Amino acid sequence: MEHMTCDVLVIGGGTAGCFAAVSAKKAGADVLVADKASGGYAGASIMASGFWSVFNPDWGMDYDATLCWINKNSSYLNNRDWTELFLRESWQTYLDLQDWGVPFPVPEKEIQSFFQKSIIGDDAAGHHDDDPHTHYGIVPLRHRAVTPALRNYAEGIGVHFLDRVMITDLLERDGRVFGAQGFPLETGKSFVIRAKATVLAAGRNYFKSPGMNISGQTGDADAMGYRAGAVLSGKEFPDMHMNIARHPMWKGNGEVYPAYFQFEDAMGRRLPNRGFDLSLASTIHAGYGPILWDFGKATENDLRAIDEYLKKRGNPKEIERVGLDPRGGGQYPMIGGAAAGGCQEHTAGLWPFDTDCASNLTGLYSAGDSCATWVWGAIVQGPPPGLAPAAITGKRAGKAAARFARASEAVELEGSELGVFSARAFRWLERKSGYDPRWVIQLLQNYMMPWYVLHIKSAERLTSTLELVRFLRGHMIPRMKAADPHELRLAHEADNMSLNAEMILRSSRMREESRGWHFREDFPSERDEWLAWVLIRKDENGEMVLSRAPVPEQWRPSVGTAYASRWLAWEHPHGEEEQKWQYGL
Amino acid sequence: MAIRPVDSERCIGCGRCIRACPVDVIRLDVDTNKAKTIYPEDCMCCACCEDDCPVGAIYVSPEKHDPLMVSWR
Repeated sequence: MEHMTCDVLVIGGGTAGCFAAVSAKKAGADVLVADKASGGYAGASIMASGFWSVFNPDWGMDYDATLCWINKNSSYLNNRDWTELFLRESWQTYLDLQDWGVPFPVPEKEIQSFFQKSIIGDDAAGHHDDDPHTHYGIVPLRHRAVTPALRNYAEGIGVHFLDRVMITDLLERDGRVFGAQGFPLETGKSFVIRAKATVLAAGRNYFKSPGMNISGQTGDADAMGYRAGAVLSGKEFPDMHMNIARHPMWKGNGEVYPAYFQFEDAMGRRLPNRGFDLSLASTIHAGYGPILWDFGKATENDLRAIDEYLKKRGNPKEIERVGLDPRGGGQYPMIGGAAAGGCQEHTAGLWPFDTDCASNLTGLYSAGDSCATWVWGAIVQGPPPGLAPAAITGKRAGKAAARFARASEAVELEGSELGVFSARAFRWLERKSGYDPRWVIQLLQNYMMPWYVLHIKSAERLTSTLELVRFLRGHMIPRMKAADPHELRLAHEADNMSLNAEMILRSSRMREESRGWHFREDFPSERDEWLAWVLIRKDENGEMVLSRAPVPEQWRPSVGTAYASRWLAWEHPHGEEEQKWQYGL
Repeated sequence: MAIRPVDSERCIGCGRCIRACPVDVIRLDVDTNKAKTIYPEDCMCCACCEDDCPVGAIYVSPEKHDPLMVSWR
């Protein structure tokens, strides 16, 4: 058994984890970052080729107008404290990236005009009192350039990275978290890290489409937080990213997709709102699939915008990889891809009890997609959502964890505790025979991924799927067999994903309304009683219990306001309006 | 299927592909000091290994055919 100690343990080495580690290190802590792959090269960061959102009054943006725009766009489910933190702190995180050596493909002075020319494209023509691009700035990133540079910087100031160590569970006693346990993928030997404070920054849970292998994003942080007794939230709101069916892990989507939004159904009708919402699942549901990305309808202006975009940001290898040829006028079928089955960015995760990302457990913090800040509320149609809030929560969690560690004593393992933790971590390795973890994961994908479960929901289908997931958790998960440490990791991932599945299904069933990207066929409109967040935790008998935390009175919209002006922002139709589009075909 | 076997003639054993793989498909063969695909069935076709290989020893095909899977083992 290997045994390590540190002041602050960060679980997950993506954007949030690296920011947390740097911030804790600069506050004087001794910091370890553990990642089941390699910090800086894993998790969502491999797909993070998009944008860093910033708010900067010097770029002509108005604080109150932007806040109001985000509130509307969030269907008033945003946690306004966090939205305001985004407005106040995002610009500094961009300056941090510059200081820490992250390369940017577009010079700062060209950023805004770059978007006017390319990203908005024909969508910008003619309207937009409510144009989002006047409310925030979008800094383009280069594919796979951010987190490797962050890791490099973190190592330079003395952060220690533990690569290829699968963390299985937090060490917890009487509500105090004091580190974590896991195993290196090579040796499979027990590995214990005692830490005065722990930051969970291991991202989201994606199921991915049936037939597609999972990535590292298997909801490990949320699952281990839940098992230790943490309160979670936000599981009912699904992610809507899509990708090219031929290559669902294609990384060029962040580079080409924003320049050209001609997504259409089998009847040749263009999806509204850039196809980036429920319209995709709704079209399939209405029987008008497949969805095609149609370059045959590109105008010369569109093609020029795409060229401009590719020249600045494109990765020629990625274009070649899928044989994408915008000028060739091809049609490319789209599916839920790399991000399929995830919850919305910064909506799901551990519930932050303060703006330092503290959980309800002493010594445990969360950051990035493991932290349910609800900064964008019910919908992610505003600023590109993921990265800047990951940095903001990382910085705040890391600093608070370092402060907590400085003021507290190390906790020792007692008596038989290690044996109990180890028995759980290695139980699948010790069985003589059992279910293949890959098979269990495939089952789970087939339960969860169809659009009629995860996107177009109803009480009956959620209940039926929940029954299947409960059976899988009760019958198959305990009977898996892992042949080696690699498969032991898969077994833990299957366990964690299935726990996340249960949280998603229960939260979705509880929220009897439609709001943002949570859509219920049986409750197709917003309901004011659901200006509330669903909280999830484990009770003293080990049962999952859900409760409701109302949005504070002062953050609610005026109920007397007309439907459209209450909810509509930009061009996105919500609830009833969206229904009309879906079924009025 | 997805990742093809590493070209051992070209591989220089630098380990960048192992660092790039989020799902532990590739390991370093300690006998030959070259990268080797140990769990190709878990490849998710992100092609990060191919992108990071400095000598062009790796090719990830987008074509993917999972082997028939049996529940109990």
